[in-house]
Amino acid sequence: MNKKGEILVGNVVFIILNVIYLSILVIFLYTQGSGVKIVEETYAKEIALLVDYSQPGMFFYLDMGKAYDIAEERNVDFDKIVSKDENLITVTLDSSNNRKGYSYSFFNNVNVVITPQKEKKIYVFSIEEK
Amino acid sequence: MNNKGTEQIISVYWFAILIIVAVGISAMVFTFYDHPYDVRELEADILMNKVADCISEHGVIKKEIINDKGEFQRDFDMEELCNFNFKAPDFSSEIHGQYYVLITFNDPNGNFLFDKEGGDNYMRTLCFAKEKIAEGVTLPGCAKAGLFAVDLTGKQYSIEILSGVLKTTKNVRV
Repeated sequence: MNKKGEILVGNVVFIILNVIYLSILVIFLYTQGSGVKIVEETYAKEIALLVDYSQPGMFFYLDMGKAYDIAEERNVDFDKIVSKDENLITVTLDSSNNRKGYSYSFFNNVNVVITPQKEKKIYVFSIEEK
Repeated sequence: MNNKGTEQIISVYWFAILIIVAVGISAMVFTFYDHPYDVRELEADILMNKVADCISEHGVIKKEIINDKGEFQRDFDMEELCNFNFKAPDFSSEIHGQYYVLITFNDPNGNFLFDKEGGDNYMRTLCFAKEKIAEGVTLPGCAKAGLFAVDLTGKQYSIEILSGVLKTTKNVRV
């Protein structure tokens, strides 16, 4: 009876250790996938490609929910996540240590008007003729 | 006693397996996320479609390219005509330009008549090389397509468009 109890405790410890191990792996994978650099790069390239594809008179909006969460954690103002300089889109989700975010250029010679809508966690991009 | 010894050996092996799996997964994840997303093919495809939309309207070649007498306007500025800006400030430190476009006008039988380049023609050879023989990540993203159009006199042309996007440092881990 006593021996059976020992086996059960051993199994429980074994299962708990396995669960902890798997949890650490899952958390590691999740944090790697939602890292600042990767999210910045994804948004910057997505916006640049959408601008390239669009024509004057069009507008599009982008769900920035993921960026909003990361920016809030790192005390970055939602309105300052996406910026534009000439034909260069920059996404900044962490401005500590003078980080400048990730930039990607577009070839479409248009004027892009960027309007953040914090309450909806979206950015609206209006494409205008230059 | 013997049973306990076996269990201990198994648990050592088990932990060794766990560590090997963890190291393996970490290495795979680091390798995967260490590479930037390669969007050059997509960008070249958009550029090619933009050029196609730009050179002809409703199947008629613009008069800035072939005038109403059927003459090629050899000195037209592609960037201006198609409303492109081929300057890429994020690659300003690089020697070569980041975009390339080649438009080739042939007669309907495929005989060459005229071509026009835009951007950095350094990519011309690289795109042809990629198309013919090589598959390399450091080669530019290229796209190619053809269309038929007529000029203002009604003469028919077969047009080939080749576009290339270099942007290697931001799309490939060199």
